[in-house]
Amino acid sequence: MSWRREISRLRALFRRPNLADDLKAEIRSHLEMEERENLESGMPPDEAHYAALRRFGNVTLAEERSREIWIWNAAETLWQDIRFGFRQLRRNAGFTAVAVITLALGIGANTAIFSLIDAVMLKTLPVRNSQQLTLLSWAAQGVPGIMPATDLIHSMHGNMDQDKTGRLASTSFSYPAFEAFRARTNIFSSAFAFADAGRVNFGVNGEARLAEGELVSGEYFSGLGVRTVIGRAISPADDRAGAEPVAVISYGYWERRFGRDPGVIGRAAVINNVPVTIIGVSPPEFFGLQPGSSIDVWLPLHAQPEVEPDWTENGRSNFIRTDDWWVTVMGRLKTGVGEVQARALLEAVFHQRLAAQREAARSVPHRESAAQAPPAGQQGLPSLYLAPASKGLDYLRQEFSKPLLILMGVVGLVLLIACANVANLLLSRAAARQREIAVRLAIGAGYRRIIRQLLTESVTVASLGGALGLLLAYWATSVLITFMSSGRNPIALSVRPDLRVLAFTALVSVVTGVLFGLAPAYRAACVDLTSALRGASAFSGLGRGRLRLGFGKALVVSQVAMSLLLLVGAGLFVRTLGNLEEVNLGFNRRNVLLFGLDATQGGYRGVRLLGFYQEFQQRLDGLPGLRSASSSSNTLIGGGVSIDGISIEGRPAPRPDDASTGVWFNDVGPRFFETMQIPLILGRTIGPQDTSAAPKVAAINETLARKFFAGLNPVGRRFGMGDSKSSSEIEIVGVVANAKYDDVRREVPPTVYVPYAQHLASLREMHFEVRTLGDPSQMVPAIRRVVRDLDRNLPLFDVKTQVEQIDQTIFQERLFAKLSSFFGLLALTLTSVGLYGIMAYAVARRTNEIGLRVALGASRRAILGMVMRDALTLVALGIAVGAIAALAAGRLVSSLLFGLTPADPLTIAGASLSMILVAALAAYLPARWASQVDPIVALRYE
Amino acid sequence: MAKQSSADRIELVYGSLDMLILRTLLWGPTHGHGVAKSIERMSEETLKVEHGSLYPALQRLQQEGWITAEWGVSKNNQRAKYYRLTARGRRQLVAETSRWERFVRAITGVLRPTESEERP
Repeated sequence: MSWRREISRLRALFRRPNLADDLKAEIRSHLEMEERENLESGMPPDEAHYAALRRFGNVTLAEERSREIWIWNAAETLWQDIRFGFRQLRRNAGFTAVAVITLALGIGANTAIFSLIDAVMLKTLPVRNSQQLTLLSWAAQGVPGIMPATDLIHSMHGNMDQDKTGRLASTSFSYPAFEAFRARTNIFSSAFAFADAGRVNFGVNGEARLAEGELVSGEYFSGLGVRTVIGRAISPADDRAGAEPVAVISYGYWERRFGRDPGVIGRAAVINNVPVTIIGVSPPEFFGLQPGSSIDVWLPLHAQPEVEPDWTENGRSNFIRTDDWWVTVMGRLKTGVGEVQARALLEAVFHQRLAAQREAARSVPHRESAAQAPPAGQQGLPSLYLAPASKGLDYLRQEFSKPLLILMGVVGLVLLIACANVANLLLSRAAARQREIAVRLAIGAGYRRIIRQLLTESVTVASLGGALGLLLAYWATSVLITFMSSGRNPIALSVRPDLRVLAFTALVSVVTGVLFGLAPAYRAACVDLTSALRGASAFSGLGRGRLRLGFGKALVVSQVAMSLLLLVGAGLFVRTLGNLEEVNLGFNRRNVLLFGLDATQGGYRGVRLLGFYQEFQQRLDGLPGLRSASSSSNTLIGGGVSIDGISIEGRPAPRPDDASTGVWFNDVGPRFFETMQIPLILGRTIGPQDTSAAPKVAAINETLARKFFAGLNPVGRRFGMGDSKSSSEIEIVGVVANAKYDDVRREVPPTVYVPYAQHLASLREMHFEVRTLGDPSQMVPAIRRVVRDLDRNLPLFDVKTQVEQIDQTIFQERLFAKLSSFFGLLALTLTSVGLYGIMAYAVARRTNEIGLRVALGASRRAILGMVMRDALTLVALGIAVGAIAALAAGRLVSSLLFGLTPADPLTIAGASLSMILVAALAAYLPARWASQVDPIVALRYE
Repeated sequence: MAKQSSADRIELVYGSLDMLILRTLLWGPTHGHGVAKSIERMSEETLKVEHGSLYPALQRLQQEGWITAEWGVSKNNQRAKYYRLTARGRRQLVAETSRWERFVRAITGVLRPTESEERP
C-alpha cells in the first residue's frame, strides 16, 4: 500500500470542502450544458434557457435535499456510532475499565499541570481592561551583588534580576521619576506606583498580628479599576504628605480578622505603631498585582515615612530624593499610543532626569577618590523598558514557568504512553473484531463510515477518561499547590477549573481518542474481505501479519523509549535531591529553632533597640531545655544576604563596581558560632565583650582568608567596609570554618561576621537561633512568653526549625523528585502492561508455529528463550532510543540539577536496568505460556 | 422509436435511482448532466428523471463511498464535476443488480404465474 494513498485517504477523512458552493457550481454547469443542447436542437435562446430549468426541476429543492443528506448523515452517523460505541464498550467492560483508568491518569495529570500553568502563566489580573496595563522597568550593565549605576542610585528597594543579556534589571524607580512619568498624560491615561511594605504589625483592639502590606499611590485603585466592596478606596487626596493615614484591607483579611463585619469601615487600627483608619475592603477576587501572593492591607504611599521609618535616611524625604529607588510604576497606555512609541518617549524623560541628576552629583565634591568620577552625559544610563502587565508582576512566573513546562512535558509523555497502551489494546481488539467489520463492509458500509465509527468509540473512551481525569486533576491540583506553597514564599493561588482548563481537557481527550484510535481503526478498515469472511484469521497472511504486529511492536518500542526518558528524569531529580540533602553545610542543622523579631515595630530605635535585643537574649538564655542561643541579621540558608565591598588596610582602594571585592556580611550576636556549631580555626570568635563601645572586630571564614590573605595570617589584619572612609576600621580577630550562607547550592562565599552591637546603623529586625536539647518546636510557647513579658505588642515571625528552613529552599527539587518518580513508575507500569499485552498477543498468534517447533523437537527452554529474546529485543531498542532522547533532552533540565550532569551514566544505567528487569518480568508470563504449548492441541487447532 | 407522451413515463421506485446512476457510471466517468442523459437514453425515454433529483442521489452515493467526484473539463471546454465508480461501487452495483433481478423475478412470478403452477 503506497504512502500516498494512505495519506490521501487520511486527508479525505478530515477534509471539509465547501460542499454547498461546490454543488451550486455543479448545477450551474449542468444547466448550461442542457441549455447548449437545447440550442443545438434548434430552440430559440430564451426557450432553451427555460426548458433547461424546467427539465432540472426545483434548484433550491435539489440543493436543500443534498444539504439534508450531508447534515443528516453526519448527525445520524455520529449518534449511531455513539450508541453502537457504548454498546461495544459495555460488552467489553474489562477493556473499557482498563482503558478509561489508564487515560484518566494521563489526562488527569495533564489537566492538573495545565491548571497550574493556567493560574501561574495565563490568567490575567481581575482588573478593568488588564491588557492596557504596562509595567516599567530598567536595565543596566553591572555585576550581581553590586549595585549598578552607583552614581545614580544610593539605595534601592525591590527585586533585581539578571536579564537575558546579563544586565541587571529592576522595576524600582525613584518617586520623582514616577511623578515625571505620571505627568506624561499624553502617554498614560493613568499611572500609579506601589512599594512592598512587607510584613506589617497590624493592631486592632490592642491585639497585634502580622499582615502583608503594600504602599500604593493615590491612583492605584482608580487606575486599576478596582472598586471596594464596602467603604472607599485610597484616593489621591489620601496620598499626600500630612494626610490622615488610611488603610484598605483585602476581602480575605476582612473575612479572617473581622468576620466580614461591615462595621470595620471607620475603625481605628495601629499599623507599625501608626494609628490608621480602615476606609474600605477590596473585592474578593483581587489579591494585588503579584500572582501567588496576596496583600492584606494597602496604605497610601505617603504613609511610608511613618510606617517604615527605617527607610528614611537622615531625615531626607524619599519623595524628593532622586537616588532612592523604591517604587514600582505601572501605567495604562492611552488608546492609540503604541508600546514602542511610549517606550521611546518615556526613556527620553527618564534619561533627561538621570543626566541632570548626574550633573548635579558632579558639581558636588564626591567622596575622596577622584578615580570614581561618574561618566558624563547620557553615557551608560540605564535603558527603560515597558512590559505588558495584564498578568501582573512576574515573580511567580519566573520561578515556576520552567518547572511547570517541564512537568507539562513529563505528563505529556505519560499521556502518550497511556495512548500507546490503549492503542495496543485496541489493536488486539481490532483483530477480534475483524469479522464484524468484514461483515459490515460486505453489506455495504463505507470505509470512512467504519473508520469514523471506530474513532467515535475511541473518542468516547477518551472522553470517559477525560471526565474521570478532571476529577483526579481537581484533587491533584490542590495537593500540588500545597506543595508549591511549602517553599519560602507562601503561594495563594486560586485554581478553580475555568473554561480554559475545561477546554484544554476536552481538547486533550478528543486528540487522545483520535491518536490512539486512528491507527487501529485505519487498520481495521483495511481488512482483506475475502479471507476475513472465510473465517480465517485475517492475520494469517505471513507478510501482512508481520507488518501488523510490527506496528504494535513499534508502539512498545516507543513506550519503552518514553518510559526510559521519564525514568532517567526521575533518577536525575531524585539524585539531585539526595545531593542537596547531603551537602556539607558547615554547621549543624539539627535541633535548632529559628524565629524573627522586629522591635522597630514596637518603636524601639538605636540604643534602645540594641538594649531590647540584648535583654531578650539574656532572658532567652535562662530558658530550660536550651543549650545555646544567638542571633544574626540573616539566618543561614534563609535566602537573605548582605553584600558589600571591603578595602583592606595597606592595599589600594578598589573601584566600587569591582565585584572581586564583594564579600558577604552577617551581623551576629555573641555565641553565634557555638550555637550553629561552626568550628573556629584561628584566633577567637565574636563574644559578649564586643560591645558597641569596644574596638570593632570581625571573624572571617576560610574562603575569605584564602582569597585575600593567601599564605598569611589574617588575624590582626584590618579592613574597612564599603562606605566607611577608613580601611583600618575593623580588626580581624578570628577565622572560622566555611559554612553555607544563603543557599545550599551556592559555593561558600567569602564571608565576614561582625557583632551586631557594633553596627547600630543597620540594626533592624533580628533573627534568633536557639539550639535545644530536645525537640526544637517544643520551645516555641516558652519563647513566646519571653517576648510577651518584654513587649506584648511584638509578634514573632518566621518561626521554624533550621531543618524546615533548609527543606523550604529545596522544596522544588523535592517536588520534582516526587512527581517525576511517580510519573516514572506510572510510565514503567503502563509500559510493562503494554509489553505484556503485545507479547501475550504474539504468543497467542504463534501458537501453531510454536506447537510445530515443539513437535519438531524444540525444547521448552528454547521456546521460553525465543519469546524472551523477542521481548527484550524490543526493550533494548526502546532503551537505545530513550537513552539518546534522554541525552538530547538533558540540557532542558540541567539548570534544575545539582551535583550531577544530565548525562549522568549511573542514572541512565540505573534507569535502563530497572526498565529491563520490569520488562523481563512482564514478558516472562507470555513466554511461559509459549513454552507450555501442547503441540497436539496447537496443531489440531488449525 | 416513437416519442412517448409523458403519461407513459414511469416514476422511479425509491432507491432504484442509485442503481441506475451506478450502472451509468459503469461506462466510465461522466458528469451529472451526462448521467441524466444516459438514463433517459438507455431507458428509451421511459424513465422520467427530474434532473434536480439526481444531485442529492449523487451526494448520497459519494457518502457511501460508491462513487467519487472530481472537477474536470467537458468536451465543450466547460468545467463540470465528473463522477467515477469506485471498486466498492462496482461491488454494490453487482449486489444491487442481482437483488433487483431476484425482486423482478419474484414480482413477475406473482403477477404472471407459470403454467406448471397453474396446473397442479
